[in-house]
Amino acid sequence: MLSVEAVNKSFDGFMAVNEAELLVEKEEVVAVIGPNGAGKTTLFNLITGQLAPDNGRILFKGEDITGLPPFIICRKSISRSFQIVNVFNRLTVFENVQVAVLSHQKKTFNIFSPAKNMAGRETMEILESVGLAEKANSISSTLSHGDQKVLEMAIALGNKPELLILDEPTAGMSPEETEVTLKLIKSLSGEMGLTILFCEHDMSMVFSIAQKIMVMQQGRTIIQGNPDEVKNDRHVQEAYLGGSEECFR
Amino acid sequence: MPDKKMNWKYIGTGLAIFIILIFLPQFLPRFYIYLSALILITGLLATSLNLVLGFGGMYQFHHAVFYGIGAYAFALTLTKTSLSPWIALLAAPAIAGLLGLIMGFICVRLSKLYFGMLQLSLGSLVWALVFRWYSFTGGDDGIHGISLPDIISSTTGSYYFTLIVTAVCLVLMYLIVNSPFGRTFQGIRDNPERTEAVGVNVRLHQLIGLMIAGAFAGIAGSLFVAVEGSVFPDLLFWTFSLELIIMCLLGGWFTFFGPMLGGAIIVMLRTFVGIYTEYWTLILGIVLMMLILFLPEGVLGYLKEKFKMHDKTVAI
Repeated sequence: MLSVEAVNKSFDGFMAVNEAELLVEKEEVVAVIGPNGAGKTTLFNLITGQLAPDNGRILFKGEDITGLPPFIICRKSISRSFQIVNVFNRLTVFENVQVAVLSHQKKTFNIFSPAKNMAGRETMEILESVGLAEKANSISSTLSHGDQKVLEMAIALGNKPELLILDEPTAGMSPEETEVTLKLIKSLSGEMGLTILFCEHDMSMVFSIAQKIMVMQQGRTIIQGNPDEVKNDRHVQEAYLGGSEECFR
Repeated sequence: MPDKKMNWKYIGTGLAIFIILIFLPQFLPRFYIYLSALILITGLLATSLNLVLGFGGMYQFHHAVFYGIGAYAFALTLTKTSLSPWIALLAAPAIAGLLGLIMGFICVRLSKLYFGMLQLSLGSLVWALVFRWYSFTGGDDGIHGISLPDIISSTTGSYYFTLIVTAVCLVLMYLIVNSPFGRTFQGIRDNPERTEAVGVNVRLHQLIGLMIAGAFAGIAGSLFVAVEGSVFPDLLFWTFSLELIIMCLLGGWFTFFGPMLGGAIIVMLRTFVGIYTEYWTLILGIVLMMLILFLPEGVLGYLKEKFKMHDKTVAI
């Protein structure tokens, strides 16, 4: 469904992403792991258009999407959430998701009819599915960090994506919140059949939901394979895990 | 539904104010009718600025340009062509909207302060053009004694005309702010990067917003001509733009009616303090300092907070 082929991106001579390779098949859950600064977020920014790669190709459903602006890529049904909370601060929770739903329904140029009840059902359905329905009328900046991260995901769902990209969905969450989010991601993939690409530091989470794992180090793809292959790969153990298997237990 | 009730409360308040304003000329002497018209025009202008400032998050530093150009468009069409005055009136929003589009097209690729700086310099360029082009605009003399249709030439006539046009414009802008376009616009204000990531062409929406704001400012400009019967380059001087920004901040730039209130406060302050001292900007400076220290969300923003009018489904 998504394939990243030999993509490069450098900032002032520093190769943030170096010949990265990634393959995501339909309805798969794929994780990207790697130490801090390995280029995971940069890779996601390249896929969703926040950054344009220096060279290489990115194909989505066979179509070349390399270097297209973010709003065009989003319309091809790739949605994403951000690592650092990135919501609409002054809008309510409901309105936060509604912005995405209105955009998906191509109603953003409608300038005279009231938006209040527009896309209400779709928006509430999403809020219910992520468990934020009760807080629909709260201003989003008043939510806890964990709820804001969930709202991040809810906004991304507003575009009814086929491919959902999550940049550290549980970063900064309490263990309880992480548990809930884990279940949510599982149900998105299981019940709704979404294809999910995410990156995460929490290894137990990665190994509990990912069907494929891609390991990055210093911008390079070391390996992509199923969890067992990755766990037993000598390069991964040496490079990323310091030669020990401890991290997987 | 509770928010329906709230809605009616706002509509009721708005109607009540409108009715009071209709009967105002029965009680007030001529000068105050003129002043009320000026307040309405300035309030309308500040509200049009706030469309892009408070609801769009764009630092339009030089908004008075569109006001001045609207005024000149109306005045020049009246004096230089034989078109009917009612058609000349349409020239104001058309030309001002077009200028908004052109300046927006140049500025919109920049963000925040850089947008504001470029917009300010382009606006000053337009001012210089109007100021110097004697053969066409009358230069720094401006154009005076513009003859208007009888119905709007008296003080009361121009007041009613201003009241009706302002009311219609406010209703239209209120609808825009609360429409899907307005919602998206507020999304762009809060977080342009995120809005683009949900599939919105941010620049295009900003451009349309700038054009709409310019057009409404142009309408305010034409009303000024209807009330004063003259135009002069000061209308588009940058210091007036600064006053407009202060009006938005003073009234509450995250509220819909805040700029209207801010406009009323500033115009009255200028008029009444101006009688006693020519240093009325000193008072303005003190007001501004108090505002920053005590009412960072503006007067209406403060009241909204205080009385828990947190009905976010309606923007007031």
